[in-house]
Amino acid sequence: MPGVTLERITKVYGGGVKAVDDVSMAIGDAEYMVLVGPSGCGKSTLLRMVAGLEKVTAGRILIGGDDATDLEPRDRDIAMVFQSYALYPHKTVRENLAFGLRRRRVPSDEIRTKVDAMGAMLGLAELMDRKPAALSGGQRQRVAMGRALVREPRVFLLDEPLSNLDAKLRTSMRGELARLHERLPTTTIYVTHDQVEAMTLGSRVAVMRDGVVQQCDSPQVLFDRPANLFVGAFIGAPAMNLVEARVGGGAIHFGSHALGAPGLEELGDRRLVLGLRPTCFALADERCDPRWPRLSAEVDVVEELGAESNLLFTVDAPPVLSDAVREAIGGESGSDEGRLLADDRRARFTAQIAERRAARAGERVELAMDPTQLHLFDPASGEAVEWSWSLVHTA
Amino acid sequence: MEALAPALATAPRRRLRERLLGEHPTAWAFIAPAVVIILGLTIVPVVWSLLLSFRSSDLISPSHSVGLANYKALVHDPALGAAVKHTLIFTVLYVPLSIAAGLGLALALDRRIRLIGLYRTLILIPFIVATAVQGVLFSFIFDQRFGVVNSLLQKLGLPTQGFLGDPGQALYIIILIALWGSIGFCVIIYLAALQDVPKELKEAAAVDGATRWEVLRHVTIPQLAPITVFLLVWQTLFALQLFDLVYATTRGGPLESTVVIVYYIYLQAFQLFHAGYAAAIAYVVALVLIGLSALQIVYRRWRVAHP
Amino acid sequence: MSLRRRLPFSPWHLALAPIAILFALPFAWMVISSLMSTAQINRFPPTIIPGSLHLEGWETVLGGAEFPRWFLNSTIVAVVTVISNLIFCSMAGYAFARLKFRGSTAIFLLILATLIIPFQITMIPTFIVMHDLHLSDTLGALIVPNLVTPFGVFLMRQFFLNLPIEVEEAARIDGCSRFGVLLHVATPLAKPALATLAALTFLVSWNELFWPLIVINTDSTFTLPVGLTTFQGAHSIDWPAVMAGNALTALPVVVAFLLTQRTFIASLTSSAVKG
Ligand SMILES: Nc1ncnc2c1ncn2[C@@H]1O[C@H](COP(=O)(O)OP(=O)(O)OP(=O)(O)O)[C@@H](O)[C@H]1O
Ligand SMILES: [Mg+2]
Repeated sequence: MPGVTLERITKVYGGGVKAVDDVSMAIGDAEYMVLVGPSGCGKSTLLRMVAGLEKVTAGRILIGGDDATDLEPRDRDIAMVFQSYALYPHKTVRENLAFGLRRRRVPSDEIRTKVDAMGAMLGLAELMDRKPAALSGGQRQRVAMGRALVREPRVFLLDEPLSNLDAKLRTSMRGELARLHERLPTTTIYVTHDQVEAMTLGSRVAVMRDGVVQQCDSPQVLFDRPANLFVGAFIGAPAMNLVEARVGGGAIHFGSHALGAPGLEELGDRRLVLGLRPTCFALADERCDPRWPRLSAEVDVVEELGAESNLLFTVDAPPVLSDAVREAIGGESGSDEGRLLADDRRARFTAQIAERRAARAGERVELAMDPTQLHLFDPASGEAVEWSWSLVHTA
Repeated sequence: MEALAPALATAPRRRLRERLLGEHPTAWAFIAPAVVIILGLTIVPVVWSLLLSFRSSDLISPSHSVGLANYKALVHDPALGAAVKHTLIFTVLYVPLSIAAGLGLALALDRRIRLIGLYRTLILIPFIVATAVQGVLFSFIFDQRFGVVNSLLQKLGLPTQGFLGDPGQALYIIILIALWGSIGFCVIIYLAALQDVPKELKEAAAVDGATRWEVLRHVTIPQLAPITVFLLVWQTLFALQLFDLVYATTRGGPLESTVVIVYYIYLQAFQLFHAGYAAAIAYVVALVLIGLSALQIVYRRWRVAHP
Repeated sequence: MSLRRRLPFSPWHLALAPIAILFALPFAWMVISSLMSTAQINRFPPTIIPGSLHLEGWETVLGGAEFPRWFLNSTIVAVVTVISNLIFCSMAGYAFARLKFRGSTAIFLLILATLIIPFQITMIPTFIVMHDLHLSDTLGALIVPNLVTPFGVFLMRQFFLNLPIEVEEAARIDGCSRFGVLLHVATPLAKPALATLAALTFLVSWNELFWPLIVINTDSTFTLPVGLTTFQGAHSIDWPAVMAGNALTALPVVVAFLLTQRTFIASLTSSAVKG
């Protein structure tokens, strides 16, 4: 069976750091698997173990159905693109592309044909005799891609290949990568900490935290049915609105608000974390589904994005400040924000309304919410709490 | 795929070897030559030498143990005492003079004027030339009868000198030659260090009203302290191990006035074949030298910890 | 200030030029006297500016059997030592920088420690080892102890540690073994360090006097420094020939130095300033 299979992979570094903890996954042939997670969660470590650059502490790696756990990188028939590109500085672009083929004793006329074809495909034809130092960041990135692709490996590994590019180039390159995969479907593992990249590129996305895979599924499922609070908070931009709430009497209560939705009775009476996607909001008017729960809010700030607007408001209920959320939202700014909010005990919400000039700052608006984009999590474990209604409507 | 089959079979064995030897057993092949040569011809001899210093050996016939006799003898050896005295005179004059001259010249050469590259090159060339060449060259220049220096003195109507042939002068002439041969080294070391003195520091002092001399005294020279310590140790190690220059000029003469410690060890070991005794002297000297190097290392550590 | 205004050049030249000349003058005298006749020199007081040039000194040196032989010996020893140091120091330095193996730290520290062990305590046992290996009085005795030096291992390790590791990882994925990485990627990138190592090794090897003096007894196996001092002892009347031999011994390092001055100076200062 082609593809890559990881069986209970664990990595403990010399200092006792457990970077990857008992990870299993099966990546199918030509599948595009993205590993995503905050800095230090072990994505690179996992990828480097597939590459053979790090030894596994425990577990097995199968590449194309064969045990590759103890193989040297060169015997695994993989190619890798590094964040720093890692081009050979003393070799020209042509030599960089040809190096791997040459090591594999490919006949030189075949090398020439393949390298020229790859150069033409990636628009490097004019740059073939330059050294990497004489290339721009984007060009280097393309050479790094070309060097990996020209080998036609069984597995293609990329470790944050776009993060050294400026924002605009990154977006266009993202599209290029997706198109490339259409043209040359190869099993791919792609590491990033950028969830937009993850969602747009991956046929499946594995969200990692502290060396553990939290959830591994298609981008749509990750978005619609996050398995836990961490995944919910990490996936989606703007981030999911989270607030401490209580369910009881068939409604969800937080602050002075109460949201009713069918089927909530079965959850009984308990404390929960409520998560609302910014996209679940709409202005409550006659076009709205009358069954959708409503919420009235005073808008603090309006961000006009052209075709849509973000309404920022606060609700009179405590924000969620668990470690999972803090890690998902990101290091410094997350914890700073946490402290600020802890003072006023009010959660900040963002509503993304698909209308231009949806409201003015200071205005009080009535918002309706799509209950299918409403998520409940257990406050202690962080696990998603599912109830029959939500399941029916997202299936 | 076929390539994977043998790898699979060897996997468990590989694991075991890894546990015993570390992740990369092939590393041993990489370091083997270095280990054999460096450790084999240094660490082994260090121990061997120590054992030898408790024995009487002429390098050829079987040796026998003499206990501490060699060490006792060296305390009372007047020839060794003289060699130590010569070595110390050399060190006490050579080290400070070479460093002071090196610093002065480096400061003078640290500017962008025409021909500066040529000056630097000319001052450094004596250093890279073999000590044997330096010694032979100056044996000629200071030759009593045919030397150019005496010829000049003669022309100036001054009395000619014995130089390397005069027991009272030879050691000092050797110091002079050693200075000529090594000031260049101190100069380029100081020049390189001067490039690392932050320009802003000097400019700040100048803006604060310091004169050029004060900038030098209070900013530049203190910044060079680590390099000065390095040179102090380096030059002292060189001075205490002086051999080549003595061999190439006086071979210890005249009247043994230039026998220095290492020259004495050489005589004992390879001319008189008192290998055990030579090893004992060498060991005592080596301990002093190692102590000096250790001091230098400690100083560096301390500098890093207290910048 | 006024001095500077009156002079067409920097006043520093007034101090620096004489000093520089003082350093160069002995060499000038060496070359001049190598071109004099013994009669010109043996006059008392000797001539300083010779009226005519004579090549007898150079003829004695280049036409005789000894100096060409010594030159060859020195060259063989230096070339073999430089090449073996480049190879073995790179290999060991690379292993210490990049490969994980049992005892790597301990062994490296031990090698580093040998840097401060003075030659005098190792020379007698080394002499005995060379004797037992039947190498004494051969060029092998000059080469073997210097095949790989602790300084070289240290230098190369430092250099490899500072190379970006991803480039090497890319090469391993591209199909290189550990040795292939060293050969195809690390070594080409290490050219500056290798040049430093080559320059210093050559300098030390070419100029070495003490050790050859101990292990070599036969005239035909001498290297230039040993040969030169012996020759001077035997021919102290024939100063032109001694000076010609002297110039011949100095020439290769001076030429090498003038050709690669930058590398040489960087090599000499690297150990001290960067530590
Ligand atoms: N060579 C190493 N030795 C010891 N610990 C390491 C090593 N490499 C990584 N780690 C640790 O392992 C954990 C996972 O590191 P890894 O590089 O896989 O994270 P990452 O998810 O790729 O993060 P980033 O987004 O910052 O690249 C971190 O805590 C890191 O500090
Ligand atoms: Mg990473």
